[in-house]
Amino acid sequence: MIKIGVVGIGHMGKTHLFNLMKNKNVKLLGVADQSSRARAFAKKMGVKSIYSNYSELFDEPELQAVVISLPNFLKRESLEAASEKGLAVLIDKPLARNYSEAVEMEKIVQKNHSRLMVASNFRYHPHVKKMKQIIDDGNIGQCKLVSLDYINHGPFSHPLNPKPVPDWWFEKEKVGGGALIDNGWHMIDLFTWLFGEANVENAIFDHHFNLELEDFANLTIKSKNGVLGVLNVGWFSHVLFPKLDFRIICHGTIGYCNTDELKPNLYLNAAKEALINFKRKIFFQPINILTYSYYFSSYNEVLRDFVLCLEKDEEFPISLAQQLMVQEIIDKTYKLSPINTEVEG
Amino acid sequence: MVLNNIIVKDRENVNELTSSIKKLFDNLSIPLKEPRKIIIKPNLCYYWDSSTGQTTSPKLVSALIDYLRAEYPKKELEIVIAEADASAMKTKHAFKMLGYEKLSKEKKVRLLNLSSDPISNFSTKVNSNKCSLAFSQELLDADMIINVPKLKFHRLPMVTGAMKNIYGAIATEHKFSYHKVLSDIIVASNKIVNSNIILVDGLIALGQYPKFLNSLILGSNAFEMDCILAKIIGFNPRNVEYLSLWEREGLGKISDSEKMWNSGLSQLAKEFPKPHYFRQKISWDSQLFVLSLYAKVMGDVIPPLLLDD
Repeated sequence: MIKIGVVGIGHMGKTHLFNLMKNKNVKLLGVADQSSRARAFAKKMGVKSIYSNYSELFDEPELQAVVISLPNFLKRESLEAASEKGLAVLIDKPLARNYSEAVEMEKIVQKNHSRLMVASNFRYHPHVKKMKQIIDDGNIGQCKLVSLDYINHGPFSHPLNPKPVPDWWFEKEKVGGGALIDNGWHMIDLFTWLFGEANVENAIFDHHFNLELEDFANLTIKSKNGVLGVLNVGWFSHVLFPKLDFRIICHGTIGYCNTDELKPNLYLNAAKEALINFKRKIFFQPINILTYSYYFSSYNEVLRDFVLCLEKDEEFPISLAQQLMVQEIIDKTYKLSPINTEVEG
Repeated sequence: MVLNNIIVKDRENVNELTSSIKKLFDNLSIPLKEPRKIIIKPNLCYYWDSSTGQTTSPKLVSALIDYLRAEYPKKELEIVIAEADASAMKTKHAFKMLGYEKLSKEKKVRLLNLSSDPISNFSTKVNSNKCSLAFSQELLDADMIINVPKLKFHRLPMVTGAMKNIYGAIATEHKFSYHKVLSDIIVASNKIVNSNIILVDGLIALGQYPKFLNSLILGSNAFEMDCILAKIIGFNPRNVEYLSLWEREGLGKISDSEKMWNSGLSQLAKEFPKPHYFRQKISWDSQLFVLSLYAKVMGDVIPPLLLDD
């Protein structure tokens, strides 16, 4: 059983906390957050050890791993503190604000012989897994052209219980970038996971809102084995959950595949998974957490793999080297095209 | 109240919007004394731009400023665009993101955060209960308040019009906590703050979905304007809780608004994308209920996004 902690109980941190509390392979040793409101929430959830400073959590003698769910500008320093204590770390995307910071983080991990995995959860969506299988099996021949779209409202998505968007999201220095580093992370991760090493060929950034950060971007990316990808990412769209404006269309030499066509029906999937869990419950087996929602289930699956790899002392399924490549592509993309911060009209 | 409505040909053209606003005001036969300070209150409820139908078009506000400058050419006239922080929205970010900061520089008008000092508490009674609300003193001291709400549906008050836009001017940030007594607070806020002029932004109306209606409606009474908006959206004003509460308080008569109904408004009502209010509410509430029940019985997790914590 892995003894684990959570740093940062914001939106994503809460998701990780809930999943960890239901994971039979972990023992939650504590959480840390500067916000008193977040700490009160953790207390309400029944967490026993709650700290205002992550250093205090890292001092827990039995702690083996932590999930870091902090704003981008706090990731490097918190990773360093955890790594120096020899803790394994699962960190939310993006890995860092820029490539040089990501390389520093890699060096910290190497120096301390600790371990680091980025929670690039889109790989765990069932329709994305199906698409990879189709591509890997050669069912659509050789892939030549791929389009990847992920448009939403980014940090400005309005939750059911409204809370202010934290100020750091409006500061370029603290975020590292806009829609590209946020939504684009997932799309570049998927492209390089599906087709291997790649480089950016062309990019356009634009603005719908008056923000310092780009709120939409289009880039062309090419893999070393000749697959051309067109990525569209944006923060400008007020799409309401459970709708998700995300898809991959892959054009091969003998057919195509589209994640929209591979996606399970939300309600049928929920009903099917609820029945499976009901059966498991009757036979006193542990239920499958969050499988009724494949979107949220992906966060649980990435966490489950992180824990299993630690237990078995195996390589993480999402390698740090590949995630550094994602960060490097993002850096190169930002250098390709200057960002126009003036909105039209 | 007097009320006028107009359809504009090009909702993106500020000059055309200005001449449309002039036509509306020219037909508005109420005496307006020359103001020294005018506060324009758009609806900037969140970081959604005007193309979503959720927030007031900055082009409309720009055109309104042009009209006001032409109408009141005295140099000492001060025009202020004002909005208050909300549970999830900070005015400083909304002004910047939605183009109002740029507009203020272009038109040399001031932006005012109604949640910043000086704030005063004002008391009133609604439903025989005492109600104290915080408002910007500057808002209350203005010579003229021009309320520029949206023509849109909202699942809680059903109509998000002129009166809800004044509720949005309450200085308190976490207005979400008022949602359980929303009608009382809407009525109380409008008893405290009087909108002198209401210019409804129906350029992009929001019902079941946004729709280009290219429409502007001008009036001088927030309650009667909202009765009209309720009819356009597809509700009987008597079924809108805050409107019937206003009537019960003896502050206005719903029947008075019926006299103002005209063929132009009937056409708007026909074109408005009617919300499926009850279907939506039942569907959403029942989904959340089933999910909570399932999670409780099975011991599964509900994603924080869906939690009403």
